[in-house]
Amino acid sequence: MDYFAQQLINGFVLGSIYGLIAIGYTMVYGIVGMINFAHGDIFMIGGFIALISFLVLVSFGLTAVPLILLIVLLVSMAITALYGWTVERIAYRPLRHSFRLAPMLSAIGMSFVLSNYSQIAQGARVKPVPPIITGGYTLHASSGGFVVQLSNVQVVVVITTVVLLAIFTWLVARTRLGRDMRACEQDQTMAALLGVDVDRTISMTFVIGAALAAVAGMMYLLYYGLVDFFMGFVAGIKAFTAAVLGGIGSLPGAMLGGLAIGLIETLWSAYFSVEYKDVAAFSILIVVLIFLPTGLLGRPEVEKV
Amino acid sequence: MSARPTTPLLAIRSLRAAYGRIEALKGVDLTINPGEIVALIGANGAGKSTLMMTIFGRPRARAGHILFDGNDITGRPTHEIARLRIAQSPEGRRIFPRMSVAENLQMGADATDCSEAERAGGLDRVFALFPRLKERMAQRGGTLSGGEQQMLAIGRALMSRPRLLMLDEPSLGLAPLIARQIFDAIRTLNRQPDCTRGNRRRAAAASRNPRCLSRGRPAGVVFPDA
Ligand SMILES: Nc1ncnc2c1ncn2[C@@H]1O[C@H](COP(=O)(O)OP(=O)(O)O)[C@@H](O)[C@H]1O
Ligand SMILES: [Mg+2]
Repeated sequence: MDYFAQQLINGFVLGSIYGLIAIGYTMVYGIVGMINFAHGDIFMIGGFIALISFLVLVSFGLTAVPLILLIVLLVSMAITALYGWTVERIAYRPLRHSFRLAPMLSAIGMSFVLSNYSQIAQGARVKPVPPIITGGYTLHASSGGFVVQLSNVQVVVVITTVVLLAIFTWLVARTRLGRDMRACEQDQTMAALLGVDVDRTISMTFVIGAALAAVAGMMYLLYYGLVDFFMGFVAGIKAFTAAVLGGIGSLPGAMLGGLAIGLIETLWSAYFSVEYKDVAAFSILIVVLIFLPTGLLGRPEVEKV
Repeated sequence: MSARPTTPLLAIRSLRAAYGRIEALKGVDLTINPGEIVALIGANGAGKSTLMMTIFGRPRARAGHILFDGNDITGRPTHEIARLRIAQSPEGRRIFPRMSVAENLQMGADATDCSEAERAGGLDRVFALFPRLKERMAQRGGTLSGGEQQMLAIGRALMSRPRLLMLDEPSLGLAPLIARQIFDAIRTLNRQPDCTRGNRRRAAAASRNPRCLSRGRPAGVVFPDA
Protein backbone atom coordinates (compact mmCIF):
# COMPACT_ATOMS: atom_id res chain seq x y z
CA MET A 1 0.00 0.00 0.00
CA ASP A 2 2.79 2.39 0.89
CA TYR A 3 4.61 1.43 -2.25
CA PHE A 4 1.50 2.16 -4.24
CA ALA A 5 1.06 5.54 -2.55
CA GLN A 6 4.62 6.44 -3.39
CA GLN A 7 4.06 5.54 -7.03
CA LEU A 8 0.94 7.69 -7.10
CA ILE A 9 2.94 10.68 -5.90
CA ASN A 10 5.68 10.07 -8.46
CA GLY A 11 3.18 9.53 -11.24
CA PHE A 12 1.31 12.69 -10.36
CA VAL A 13 4.50 14.74 -10.56
CA LEU A 14 5.54 13.24 -13.88
CA GLY A 15 1.97 13.74 -15.13
CA SER A 16 2.12 17.45 -14.28
CA ILE A 17 5.11 17.79 -16.59
CA TYR A 18 3.40 15.90 -19.41
CA GLY A 19 0.26 17.94 -18.90
CA LEU A 20 2.11 21.24 -19.29
CA ILE A 21 3.55 20.05 -22.60
CA ALA A 22 0.25 18.54 -23.74
CA ILE A 23 -1.49 21.92 -23.45
CA GLY A 24 0.75 23.28 -26.20
CA TYR A 25 -0.21 20.47 -28.56
CA THR A 26 -3.88 20.81 -27.88
CA MET A 27 -3.97 24.61 -28.15
CA VAL A 28 -2.20 24.68 -31.49
CA TYR A 29 -4.35 21.85 -32.78
CA GLY A 30 -7.47 23.71 -31.69
CA ILE A 31 -6.58 26.92 -33.46
CA VAL A 32 -4.76 25.83 -36.63
CA GLY A 33 -5.74 22.17 -36.84
CA MET A 34 -2.21 20.84 -37.03
CA ILE A 35 -0.04 18.70 -34.80
CA ASN A 36 3.02 20.76 -33.96
CA PHE A 37 5.59 17.98 -33.97
CA ALA A 38 8.31 20.44 -33.03
CA HIS A 39 6.61 21.12 -29.69
CA GLY A 40 8.52 18.38 -27.87
CA ASP A 41 11.74 20.01 -29.02
CA ILE A 42 10.50 23.36 -27.79
CA PHE A 43 10.17 21.68 -24.39
CA MET A 44 13.77 20.44 -24.74
CA ILE A 45 14.94 23.97 -25.64
CA GLY A 46 13.14 25.21 -22.53
CA GLY A 47 15.11 22.69 -20.45
CA PHE A 48 18.40 23.85 -21.94
CA ILE A 49 17.64 27.51 -21.43
CA ALA A 50 16.72 26.76 -17.82
CA LEU A 51 20.04 24.95 -17.41
CA ILE A 52 22.08 27.72 -19.01
CA SER A 53 20.38 30.51 -17.11
CA PHE A 54 20.81 28.54 -13.90
CA LEU A 55 24.55 28.16 -14.51
CA VAL A 56 24.88 31.83 -15.42
CA LEU A 57 23.11 32.95 -12.25
CA VAL A 58 25.24 30.67 -10.10
CA SER A 59 28.42 31.95 -11.75
CA PHE A 60 27.29 35.46 -10.81
CA GLY A 61 27.41 34.26 -7.23
CA LEU A 62 23.65 34.21 -6.66
CA THR A 63 22.77 31.80 -3.86
CA ALA A 64 19.17 32.51 -2.85
CA VAL A 65 17.41 29.45 -4.27
CA PRO A 66 13.87 30.86 -4.53
CA LEU A 67 15.18 33.91 -6.36
CA ILE A 68 17.26 31.75 -8.71
CA LEU A 69 14.26 29.58 -9.46
CA LEU A 70 12.04 32.54 -10.18
CA ILE A 71 14.55 34.17 -12.53
CA VAL A 72 15.28 30.88 -14.29
CA LEU A 73 11.55 30.31 -14.73
CA LEU A 74 10.90 33.73 -16.23
CA VAL A 75 13.99 33.72 -18.44
CA SER A 76 13.31 30.28 -19.88
CA MET A 77 9.64 31.08 -20.44
CA ALA A 78 10.54 34.29 -22.28
CA ILE A 79 13.30 32.89 -24.48
CA THR A 80 11.47 29.66 -25.27
CA ALA A 81 8.38 31.68 -26.15
CA LEU A 82 10.53 33.52 -28.67
CA TYR A 83 11.54 30.19 -30.16
CA GLY A 84 7.88 29.15 -30.41
CA TRP A 85 6.99 32.42 -32.07
CA THR A 86 9.85 32.10 -34.56
CA VAL A 87 9.01 28.52 -35.49
CA GLU A 88 5.44 29.49 -36.29
CA ARG A 89 6.55 32.54 -38.19
CA ILE A 90 9.11 30.89 -40.45
CA ALA A 91 7.89 27.31 -40.74
CA TYR A 92 4.09 27.31 -40.43
CA ARG A 93 2.62 30.66 -41.36
CA PRO A 94 3.92 30.67 -44.94
CA LEU A 95 2.26 27.28 -45.43
CA ARG A 96 -1.04 28.09 -43.79
CA HIS A 97 -3.01 28.13 -47.02
CA SER A 98 -1.04 25.33 -48.60
CA PHE A 99 -2.22 21.73 -48.77
CA ARG A 100 -3.10 20.10 -45.47
CA LEU A 101 0.00 17.98 -44.98
CA ALA A 102 2.46 20.78 -45.72
CA PRO A 103 2.57 22.31 -42.22
CA MET A 104 2.85 18.85 -40.70
CA LEU A 105 5.86 17.99 -42.82
CA SER A 106 7.32 21.36 -41.98
CA ALA A 107 6.75 20.62 -38.28
CA ILE A 108 8.59 17.32 -38.50
CA GLY A 109 11.42 19.17 -40.22
CA MET A 110 11.47 21.83 -37.49
CA SER A 111 11.67 19.09 -34.89
CA PHE A 112 14.88 17.80 -36.47
CA VAL A 113 16.24 21.31 -36.91
CA LEU A 114 15.76 22.13 -33.23
CA SER A 115 17.19 18.89 -31.85
CA ASN A 116 20.18 18.91 -34.22
CA TYR A 117 20.77 22.55 -33.42
CA SER A 118 20.90 21.73 -29.72
CA GLN A 119 23.14 18.79 -30.39
CA ILE A 120 25.61 20.97 -32.27
CA ALA A 121 25.39 23.96 -29.96
CA GLN A 122 25.38 22.03 -26.67
CA GLY A 123 26.91 18.68 -27.52
CA ALA A 124 25.35 15.27 -27.59
CA ARG A 125 26.15 14.28 -24.03
CA VAL A 126 23.65 14.35 -21.21
CA LYS A 127 23.98 17.56 -19.21
CA PRO A 128 23.60 16.97 -15.48
CA VAL A 129 23.14 19.61 -12.80
CA PRO A 130 23.70 19.16 -9.09
CA PRO A 131 20.42 18.95 -7.16
CA ILE A 132 19.10 22.46 -6.77
CA ILE A 133 16.25 21.69 -4.42
CA THR A 134 17.00 19.12 -1.76
CA GLY A 135 15.22 17.58 1.18
CA GLY A 136 11.65 16.51 1.60
CA TYR A 137 9.07 15.08 3.92
CA THR A 138 8.42 11.59 5.11
CA LEU A 139 4.68 11.12 4.89
CA HIS A 140 4.42 7.64 6.29
CA ALA A 141 6.84 5.03 7.52
CA SER A 142 5.53 1.50 7.70
CA SER A 143 6.78 -1.22 9.95
CA GLY A 144 8.14 -3.03 6.92
CA GLY A 145 10.68 -0.28 6.44
CA PHE A 146 9.22 1.31 3.35
CA VAL A 147 8.72 5.07 3.62
CA VAL A 148 6.43 7.24 1.57
CA GLN A 149 8.32 10.38 0.69
CA LEU A 150 7.38 13.68 -0.80
CA SER A 151 10.49 15.53 -1.89
CA ASN A 152 10.72 19.29 -2.01
CA VAL A 153 11.35 19.09 -5.74
CA GLN A 154 8.05 17.31 -6.16
CA VAL A 155 6.31 19.98 -4.13
CA VAL A 156 7.87 22.69 -6.26
CA VAL A 157 6.91 20.95 -9.50
CA VAL A 158 3.30 20.48 -8.47
CA ILE A 159 2.85 23.95 -7.01
CA THR A 160 4.44 25.62 -10.02
CA THR A 161 2.22 23.61 -12.34
CA VAL A 162 -0.93 24.42 -10.41
CA VAL A 163 -0.14 28.15 -10.25
CA LEU A 164 0.68 28.37 -13.94
CA LEU A 165 -2.39 26.40 -14.89
CA ALA A 166 -4.54 28.73 -12.82
CA ILE A 167 -3.06 31.77 -14.59
CA PHE A 168 -3.44 30.08 -17.94
CA THR A 169 -7.05 29.09 -17.30
CA TRP A 170 -7.87 32.62 -16.25
CA LEU A 171 -6.19 33.96 -19.38
CA VAL A 172 -8.18 31.72 -21.70
CA ALA A 173 -11.50 32.13 -19.93
CA ARG A 174 -11.46 35.77 -18.89
CA THR A 175 -9.17 37.93 -20.97
CA ARG A 176 -9.58 39.51 -24.36
CA LEU A 177 -6.68 37.50 -25.73
CA GLY A 178 -8.23 34.26 -24.47
CA ARG A 179 -11.57 35.15 -26.02
CA ASP A 180 -9.88 35.98 -29.30
CA MET A 181 -8.08 32.64 -29.20
CA ARG A 182 -11.32 30.78 -28.64
CA ALA A 183 -13.01 32.80 -31.38
CA CYS A 184 -10.26 31.91 -33.85
CA GLU A 185 -10.54 28.29 -32.81
CA GLN A 186 -14.28 28.28 -33.54
CA ASP A 187 -14.51 30.44 -36.68
CA GLN A 188 -11.50 32.32 -37.99
CA THR A 189 -13.40 34.20 -40.67
CA MET A 190 -15.99 35.46 -38.21
CA ALA A 191 -13.27 36.43 -35.76
CA ALA A 192 -11.63 38.51 -38.50
CA LEU A 193 -14.99 40.12 -39.34
CA LEU A 194 -15.07 41.21 -35.69
CA GLY A 195 -11.68 42.88 -35.83
CA VAL A 196 -9.56 40.03 -34.47
CA ASP A 197 -6.08 39.91 -35.98
CA VAL A 198 -6.05 36.17 -36.65
CA ASP A 199 -2.33 35.92 -37.47
CA ARG A 200 -1.37 37.70 -34.29
CA THR A 201 -3.71 35.52 -32.23
CA ILE A 202 -2.19 32.37 -33.72
CA SER A 203 1.28 33.70 -32.93
CA MET A 204 0.23 34.28 -29.33
CA THR A 205 -1.05 30.72 -29.13
CA PHE A 206 2.40 29.42 -30.06
CA VAL A 207 4.02 31.84 -27.63
CA ILE A 208 1.86 30.69 -24.72
CA GLY A 209 2.24 27.01 -25.60
CA ALA A 210 6.02 27.40 -25.78
CA ALA A 211 6.12 29.26 -22.46
CA LEU A 212 4.26 26.41 -20.76
CA ALA A 213 6.58 23.89 -22.41
CA ALA A 214 9.51 25.88 -21.01
CA VAL A 215 8.03 25.51 -17.54
CA ALA A 216 7.81 21.78 -18.16
CA GLY A 217 11.44 21.78 -19.38
CA MET A 218 12.59 23.52 -16.23
CA MET A 219 10.57 21.16 -14.02
CA TYR A 220 12.12 18.23 -15.85
CA LEU A 221 15.58 19.65 -15.19
CA LEU A 222 14.82 20.13 -11.50
CA TYR A 223 13.21 16.73 -11.13
CA TYR A 224 15.65 14.56 -13.06
CA GLY A 225 18.70 16.80 -12.75
CA LEU A 226 19.64 16.52 -16.40
CA VAL A 227 18.77 17.55 -19.92
CA ASP A 228 19.85 16.27 -23.31
CA PHE A 229 19.13 17.16 -26.91
CA PHE A 230 17.01 14.06 -27.44
CA MET A 231 14.65 14.43 -24.49
CA GLY A 232 12.07 16.35 -26.53
CA PHE A 233 11.33 13.37 -28.72
CA VAL A 234 10.04 10.82 -26.23
CA ALA A 235 8.52 13.37 -23.84
CA GLY A 236 6.91 15.09 -26.81
CA ILE A 237 5.26 11.93 -28.08
CA LYS A 238 4.02 11.09 -24.60
CA ALA A 239 2.58 14.55 -24.14
CA PHE A 240 0.97 14.25 -27.54
CA THR A 241 -0.50 10.92 -26.40
CA ALA A 242 -1.77 12.73 -23.32
CA ALA A 243 -3.43 15.37 -25.49
CA VAL A 244 -5.11 12.70 -27.62
CA LEU A 245 -6.16 10.72 -24.56
CA GLY A 246 -7.71 13.82 -22.98
CA GLY A 247 -9.39 14.77 -26.26
CA ILE A 248 -7.33 16.85 -28.65
CA GLY A 249 -8.46 20.47 -28.57
CA SER A 250 -9.61 20.27 -24.95
CA LEU A 251 -7.49 22.16 -22.42
CA PRO A 252 -8.70 20.38 -19.27
CA GLY A 253 -8.39 17.17 -21.30
CA ALA A 254 -4.70 17.84 -21.93
CA MET A 255 -4.01 18.17 -18.23
CA LEU A 256 -6.11 15.15 -17.35
CA GLY A 257 -4.44 13.14 -20.11
CA GLY A 258 -1.02 14.24 -18.86
CA LEU A 259 -1.80 13.04 -15.35
CA ALA A 260 -3.15 9.76 -16.70
CA ILE A 261 -0.05 9.10 -18.81
CA GLY A 262 2.25 10.03 -15.92
CA LEU A 263 0.42 7.67 -13.56
CA ILE A 264 0.22 4.81 -16.04
CA GLU A 265 3.87 5.08 -16.93
CA THR A 266 4.96 5.20 -13.30
CA LEU A 267 2.74 2.34 -12.17
CA TRP A 268 3.78 0.27 -15.14
CA SER A 269 7.45 0.79 -14.31
CA ALA A 270 6.81 -0.01 -10.67
CA TYR A 271 4.83 -3.21 -11.16
CA PHE A 272 5.83 -4.56 -14.57
CA SER A 273 8.97 -3.44 -16.26
CA VAL A 274 10.89 -0.22 -16.56
CA GLU A 275 12.23 -1.22 -19.97
CA TYR A 276 8.76 -1.31 -21.47
CA LYS A 277 7.36 1.87 -19.91
CA ASP A 278 7.35 3.72 -23.23
CA VAL A 279 5.53 0.83 -24.85
CA ALA A 280 2.78 1.23 -22.25
CA ALA A 281 2.25 4.87 -23.16
CA PHE A 282 2.17 4.20 -26.87
CA SER A 283 -0.12 1.20 -26.54
CA ILE A 284 -2.55 3.54 -24.85
CA LEU A 285 -2.31 5.94 -27.77
CA ILE A 286 -3.28 3.16 -30.15
CA VAL A 287 -6.08 1.85 -27.96
CA VAL A 288 -7.49 5.34 -27.52
CA LEU A 289 -7.35 6.07 -31.22
CA ILE A 290 -9.26 2.88 -31.92
CA PHE A 291 -11.88 2.87 -29.19
CA LEU A 292 -12.17 6.48 -28.06
CA PRO A 293 -11.10 8.68 -30.97
CA THR A 294 -12.43 11.87 -29.37
CA GLY A 295 -10.62 11.21 -26.08
CA LEU A 296 -11.87 11.52 -22.53
CA LEU A 297 -13.08 15.12 -22.72
CA GLY A 298 -13.09 15.68 -26.46
CA ARG A 299 -16.24 16.72 -28.22
CA PRO A 300 -17.63 14.86 -31.19
CA GLU A 301 -16.89 16.51 -34.53
CA VAL A 302 -20.53 17.14 -35.33
CA GLU A 303 -21.86 20.25 -33.71
CA LYS A 304 -25.15 22.06 -34.05
CA VAL A 305 -24.32 25.46 -35.44
CA MET B 1 -31.19 59.95 -54.59
CA SER B 2 -30.40 63.31 -53.12
CA ALA B 3 -27.92 65.58 -54.84
CA ARG B 4 -26.26 66.70 -51.59
CA PRO B 5 -22.50 66.93 -52.02
CA THR B 6 -21.81 64.53 -49.17
CA THR B 7 -19.16 61.86 -49.33
CA PRO B 8 -20.94 58.54 -49.73
CA LEU B 9 -20.55 56.26 -46.73
CA LEU B 10 -19.77 53.42 -49.08
CA ALA B 11 -18.87 53.68 -52.73
CA ILE B 12 -18.19 50.56 -54.73
CA ARG B 13 -16.75 51.00 -58.20
CA SER B 14 -16.48 48.29 -60.89
CA LEU B 15 -15.86 45.65 -58.24
CA ARG B 16 -14.83 42.18 -59.37
CA ALA B 17 -14.30 39.16 -57.19
CA ALA B 18 -13.95 35.44 -57.77
CA TYR B 19 -13.64 32.12 -56.00
CA GLY B 20 -10.82 30.49 -57.88
CA ARG B 21 -12.04 30.48 -61.45
CA ILE B 22 -15.67 31.14 -60.57
CA GLU B 23 -16.37 34.83 -61.13
CA ALA B 24 -18.93 35.92 -58.57
CA LEU B 25 -18.84 39.70 -59.01
CA LYS B 26 -18.37 41.00 -62.52
CA GLY B 27 -18.17 44.74 -62.11
CA VAL B 28 -20.51 45.95 -59.37
CA ASP B 29 -21.22 49.60 -58.63
CA LEU B 30 -23.07 50.64 -55.52
CA THR B 31 -23.30 53.84 -53.54
CA ILE B 32 -24.69 54.12 -50.04
CA ASN B 33 -25.07 57.49 -48.38
CA PRO B 34 -24.98 58.12 -44.65
CA GLY B 35 -28.33 57.47 -43.03
CA GLU B 36 -29.61 55.44 -45.90
CA ILE B 37 -31.26 52.03 -45.69
CA VAL B 38 -30.51 49.96 -48.73
CA ALA B 39 -31.99 46.63 -49.65
CA LEU B 40 -29.90 44.46 -51.88
CA ILE B 41 -32.00 41.90 -53.68
CA GLY B 42 -31.32 39.30 -56.29
CA ALA B 43 -31.77 35.64 -57.08
CA ASN B 44 -29.83 32.92 -55.31
CA GLY B 45 -26.25 32.99 -56.47
CA ALA B 46 -26.52 36.56 -57.71
CA GLY B 47 -23.56 37.54 -55.57
CA LYS B 48 -25.17 39.33 -52.64
CA SER B 49 -23.25 37.49 -49.94
CA THR B 50 -20.06 37.70 -51.97
CA LEU B 51 -20.45 41.46 -52.28
CA MET B 52 -20.75 41.85 -48.52
CA MET B 53 -17.79 39.62 -47.88
CA THR B 54 -15.66 41.31 -50.53
CA ILE B 55 -16.15 44.59 -48.69
CA PHE B 56 -14.26 42.82 -45.90
CA GLY B 57 -11.66 41.45 -48.29
CA ARG B 58 -12.87 37.83 -48.20
CA PRO B 59 -12.59 37.04 -51.06
CA ARG B 60 -10.22 39.79 -52.13
CA ALA B 61 -11.34 42.17 -54.84
CA ARG B 62 -9.78 41.23 -58.18
CA ALA B 63 -10.42 44.67 -59.64
CA GLY B 64 -12.30 47.83 -58.78
CA HIS B 65 -12.44 49.92 -55.65
CA ILE B 66 -14.22 50.03 -52.33
CA LEU B 67 -14.31 53.44 -50.70
CA PHE B 68 -15.52 53.82 -47.13
CA ASP B 69 -16.09 57.39 -46.08
CA GLY B 70 -13.99 58.47 -49.04
CA ASN B 71 -11.01 56.26 -48.12
CA ASP B 72 -9.96 53.41 -50.33
CA ILE B 73 -10.14 50.23 -48.24
CA THR B 74 -9.69 47.76 -51.11
CA GLY B 75 -7.13 45.15 -50.16
CA ARG B 76 -6.88 46.12 -46.48
CA PRO B 77 -6.77 43.21 -44.00
CA THR B 78 -10.20 42.03 -42.86
CA HIS B 79 -9.69 42.87 -39.19
CA GLU B 80 -8.64 46.44 -40.01
CA ILE B 81 -11.79 46.93 -42.05
CA ALA B 82 -13.87 45.72 -39.11
CA ARG B 83 -12.13 48.29 -36.91
CA LEU B 84 -13.50 51.07 -39.16
CA ARG B 85 -16.88 50.19 -37.66
CA ILE B 86 -18.24 48.22 -40.55
CA ALA B 87 -20.21 45.30 -39.18
CA GLN B 88 -21.87 42.31 -40.70
CA SER B 89 -24.35 39.72 -39.60
CA PRO B 90 -23.14 37.19 -42.14
CA GLU B 91 -24.78 34.47 -44.12
CA GLY B 92 -25.29 31.46 -41.86
CA ARG B 93 -25.10 33.72 -38.76
CA ARG B 94 -21.74 32.33 -37.68
CA ILE B 95 -22.40 32.50 -33.94
CA PHE B 96 -19.46 31.21 -31.88
CA PRO B 97 -21.11 27.97 -30.76
CA ARG B 98 -18.97 27.33 -27.67
CA MET B 99 -19.17 30.84 -26.31
CA SER B 100 -21.98 32.16 -24.18
CA VAL B 101 -24.38 34.74 -25.55
CA ALA B 102 -22.64 37.30 -23.34
CA GLU B 103 -19.26 36.45 -24.82
CA ASN B 104 -20.59 36.53 -28.37
CA LEU B 105 -21.85 40.05 -27.70
CA GLN B 106 -18.55 40.96 -26.10
CA MET B 107 -16.77 39.85 -29.28
CA GLY B 108 -18.85 42.46 -31.09
CA ALA B 109 -17.93 45.12 -28.55
CA ASP B 110 -14.24 44.19 -28.87
CA ALA B 111 -14.36 44.89 -32.60
CA THR B 112 -13.93 48.58 -31.90
CA ASP B 113 -12.32 50.15 -28.90
CA CYS B 114 -15.15 51.35 -26.76
CA SER B 115 -15.45 52.62 -23.25
CA GLU B 116 -17.24 50.69 -20.52
CA ALA B 117 -20.14 53.17 -20.74
CA GLU B 118 -20.43 52.68 -24.48
CA ARG B 119 -20.39 48.93 -24.01
CA ALA B 120 -23.17 49.11 -21.44
CA GLY B 121 -25.13 51.41 -23.74
CA GLY B 122 -24.66 48.96 -26.59
CA LEU B 123 -25.96 46.09 -24.45
CA ASP B 124 -29.01 48.13 -23.48
CA ARG B 125 -29.70 48.84 -27.11
CA VAL B 126 -29.42 45.17 -28.04
CA PHE B 127 -31.66 44.10 -25.15
CA ALA B 128 -34.22 46.74 -26.10
CA LEU B 129 -34.39 45.21 -29.59
CA PHE B 130 -34.17 41.59 -28.54
CA PRO B 131 -35.30 41.14 -24.92
CA ARG B 132 -34.96 37.39 -25.46
CA LEU B 133 -31.18 37.67 -25.52
CA LYS B 134 -31.11 39.11 -22.03
CA GLU B 135 -32.62 35.93 -20.60
CA ARG B 136 -30.12 33.81 -22.48
CA MET B 137 -26.88 35.57 -21.57
CA ALA B 138 -25.26 32.52 -19.96
CA GLN B 139 -26.40 30.02 -22.59
CA ARG B 140 -23.96 28.72 -25.18
CA GLY B 141 -24.43 30.18 -28.65
CA GLY B 142 -24.58 26.76 -30.29
CA THR B 143 -27.62 25.74 -28.25
CA LEU B 144 -29.79 28.73 -29.24
CA SER B 145 -32.67 28.30 -31.66
CA GLY B 146 -32.27 29.60 -35.21
CA GLY B 147 -34.24 32.76 -34.51
CA GLU B 148 -32.28 33.45 -31.33
CA GLN B 149 -29.03 32.93 -33.21
CA GLN B 150 -30.15 35.46 -35.78
CA MET B 151 -30.96 37.94 -33.04
CA LEU B 152 -27.57 37.30 -31.53
CA ALA B 153 -25.80 37.77 -34.86
CA ILE B 154 -27.50 41.12 -35.35
CA GLY B 155 -26.93 42.07 -31.71
CA ARG B 156 -23.26 41.17 -31.96
CA ALA B 157 -22.90 43.35 -35.06
CA LEU B 158 -24.63 46.22 -33.27
CA MET B 159 -22.27 45.97 -30.30
CA SER B 160 -19.50 47.44 -32.43
CA ARG B 161 -21.61 50.60 -32.89
CA PRO B 162 -21.33 50.23 -36.65
CA ARG B 163 -21.45 53.10 -39.07
CA LEU B 164 -22.31 50.60 -41.77
CA LEU B 165 -24.35 47.56 -40.79
CA MET B 166 -24.85 44.75 -43.25
CA LEU B 167 -27.38 42.00 -42.61
CA ASP B 168 -27.21 39.00 -44.88
CA GLU B 169 -30.54 37.19 -45.16
CA PRO B 170 -31.71 38.15 -41.68
CA SER B 171 -34.92 36.17 -42.06
CA LEU B 172 -33.63 33.04 -43.75
CA GLY B 173 -35.15 29.90 -42.34
CA LEU B 174 -37.10 31.67 -39.64
CA ALA B 175 -40.74 31.24 -38.75
CA PRO B 176 -42.83 34.16 -40.08
CA LEU B 177 -43.45 35.48 -36.59
CA ILE B 178 -39.75 35.57 -35.72
CA ALA B 179 -38.94 37.06 -39.12
CA ARG B 180 -41.41 39.82 -38.41
CA GLN B 181 -39.73 40.50 -35.06
CA ILE B 182 -36.37 40.76 -36.80
CA PHE B 183 -37.68 43.20 -39.42
CA ASP B 184 -39.42 45.24 -36.73
CA ALA B 185 -36.05 45.46 -35.05
CA ILE B 186 -34.42 46.59 -38.28
CA ARG B 187 -37.04 49.29 -38.65
CA THR B 188 -36.39 50.35 -35.08
CA LEU B 189 -32.76 50.80 -36.04
CA ASN B 190 -33.99 53.07 -38.79
CA ARG B 191 -32.27 56.15 -37.53
CA GLN B 192 -28.86 54.53 -37.66
CA PRO B 193 -26.90 54.51 -40.90
CA ASP B 194 -27.58 51.01 -42.03
CA CYS B 195 -27.38 48.84 -45.06
CA THR B 196 -29.96 46.16 -44.78
CA ARG B 197 -31.23 43.44 -46.94
CA GLY B 198 -33.15 40.29 -46.54
CA ASN B 199 -36.52 38.91 -47.32
CA ARG B 200 -37.14 40.53 -50.63
CA ARG B 201 -40.53 42.00 -50.05
CA ARG B 202 -40.02 43.19 -46.54
CA ALA B 203 -36.51 44.44 -47.14
CA ALA B 204 -37.59 46.37 -50.17
CA ALA B 205 -40.48 47.80 -48.22
CA ALA B 206 -38.18 48.87 -45.41
CA SER B 207 -35.87 50.56 -47.85
CA ARG B 208 -36.55 53.42 -50.16
CA ASN B 209 -33.69 52.25 -52.33
CA PRO B 210 -33.70 48.61 -53.27
CA ARG B 211 -30.72 47.68 -55.44
CA CYS B 212 -30.84 44.59 -57.53
CA LEU B 213 -28.00 42.29 -58.34
CA SER B 214 -28.16 39.74 -61.12
CA ARG B 215 -25.44 37.20 -61.81
CA GLY B 216 -22.70 39.35 -60.40
CA ARG B 217 -23.82 42.56 -62.12
CA PRO B 218 -26.08 45.40 -61.02
CA ALA B 219 -29.46 45.00 -62.66
CA GLY B 220 -30.93 48.42 -62.08
CA VAL B 221 -33.41 49.39 -59.42
CA VAL B 222 -36.47 47.21 -59.30
CA PHE B 223 -39.72 47.84 -57.60
CA PRO B 224 -40.73 45.58 -54.82
CA ASP B 225 -43.54 43.22 -55.65
CA ALA B 226 -45.05 43.85 -52.25
N1 LIG C 1 -17.04 29.70 -51.13
C1 LIG C 1 -17.39 29.67 -52.44
N2 LIG C 1 -16.65 28.98 -53.32
C2 LIG C 1 -16.96 28.93 -54.63
N3 LIG C 1 -18.00 29.57 -55.16
C3 LIG C 1 -18.79 30.30 -54.34
C4 LIG C 1 -18.51 30.38 -52.95
N4 LIG C 1 -19.45 31.17 -52.38
C5 LIG C 1 -20.26 31.55 -53.39
N5 LIG C 1 -19.88 31.03 -54.57
C6 LIG C 1 -20.49 31.25 -55.88
O1 LIG C 1 -20.52 32.65 -56.11
C7 LIG C 1 -21.76 33.04 -56.68
C8 LIG C 1 -22.42 34.07 -55.81
O2 LIG C 1 -22.84 33.47 -54.59
P1 LIG C 1 -23.40 34.28 -53.35
O3 LIG C 1 -22.62 35.52 -53.19
O4 LIG C 1 -23.47 33.38 -52.20
O5 LIG C 1 -24.86 34.64 -53.87
P2 LIG C 1 -26.13 35.11 -53.05
O6 LIG C 1 -25.70 35.49 -51.66
O7 LIG C 1 -26.64 36.28 -53.84
O8 LIG C 1 -27.09 33.98 -53.06
C9 LIG C 1 -22.57 31.77 -56.85
O9 LIG C 1 -22.42 31.34 -58.16
C10 LIG C 1 -21.94 30.80 -55.88
O10 LIG C 1 -22.06 29.49 -56.36
MG1 LIG D 1 -26.23 34.64 -49.91
